[in-house]
Amino acid sequence: MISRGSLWLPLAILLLLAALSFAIERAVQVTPAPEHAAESDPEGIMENFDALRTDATGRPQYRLSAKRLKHYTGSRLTELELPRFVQIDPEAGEIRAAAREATISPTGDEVDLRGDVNVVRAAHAGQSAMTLRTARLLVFPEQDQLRSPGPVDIRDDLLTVRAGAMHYDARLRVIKLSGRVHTRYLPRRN
Amino acid sequence: ETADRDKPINLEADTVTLDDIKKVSVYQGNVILTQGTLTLRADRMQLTQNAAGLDKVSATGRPVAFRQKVDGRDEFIEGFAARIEFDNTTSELDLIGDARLRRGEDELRGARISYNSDSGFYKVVGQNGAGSPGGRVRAVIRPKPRGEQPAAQP
Repeated sequence: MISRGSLWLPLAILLLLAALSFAIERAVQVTPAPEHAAESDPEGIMENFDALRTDATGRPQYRLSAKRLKHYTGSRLTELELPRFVQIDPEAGEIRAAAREATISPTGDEVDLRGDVNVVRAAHAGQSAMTLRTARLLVFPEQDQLRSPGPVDIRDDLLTVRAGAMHYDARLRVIKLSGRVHTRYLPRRN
Repeated sequence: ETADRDKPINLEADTVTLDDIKKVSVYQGNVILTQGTLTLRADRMQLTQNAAGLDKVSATGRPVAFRQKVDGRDEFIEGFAARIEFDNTTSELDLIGDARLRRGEDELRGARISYNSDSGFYKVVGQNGAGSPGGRVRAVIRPKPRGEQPAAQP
């Protein structure tokens, strides 16, 4: 069992950062595409952007960066290339999430992270580093849920978990793993 | 075997539910737990964990079965019960409900059998109306066949 609030923190953060990417996309004025652009062409493109969110005192909280952000008029989808999410929190420790690409739905109620999805919680205050790897992660910020339709690999220094699929409900704080699950607990540290 | 307790614990199941609020994880569907020579098979296992690692396992099945090699001998001890509680701290296995413990040809039956895989010590408890007939403890200890007796000195 993954305890010590470890897995929950990285996955919960993803919900926040998914919502953040939608908020940034809405707030930032992308350079409008020319009149004659086809519907399938992006309406606006933003290159190598880096957005930082701070708290009221100016202390950095989250950072979202990507190689490219494209927004499409027709589908109203937003695509990110090489999105990088970082949560900068001295108490909880730094958490990073990255993927090859991400697609944000028109209303921001679904963020689809695809390709080498990697969530890493740095070692911190008695907790070892933890890594979650999967090929695809669907984030549903408004429902506080995440789903990985394919294999996931989760590990820290005491535990390794491999499963065929994962569903995470942040409100109930319950993870469901399926598709023949294999876990490995390293010997107790007495 | 005593050395088992220092080995990693591997678990396999069809599904796992991790509940962070209750701090419990439930493994369901053809659940297999292995630790060195110890193997535990059940339909369902519920695990609790503490800061030092895996703490307790509660397994239910039809029946739950465990098997472990006896220290220093080429022999296995096997146990079956409706429920088996495994304490990873004390290496104690508690067989509850139609409990059977078998080693070679010898077999013990009772309502409840506690077996410590570190010390090899076991305790059988009978109980009126429990699974075993009349609730009494039953032990079958087979004499070793003559061929296996040590040769008499000339």
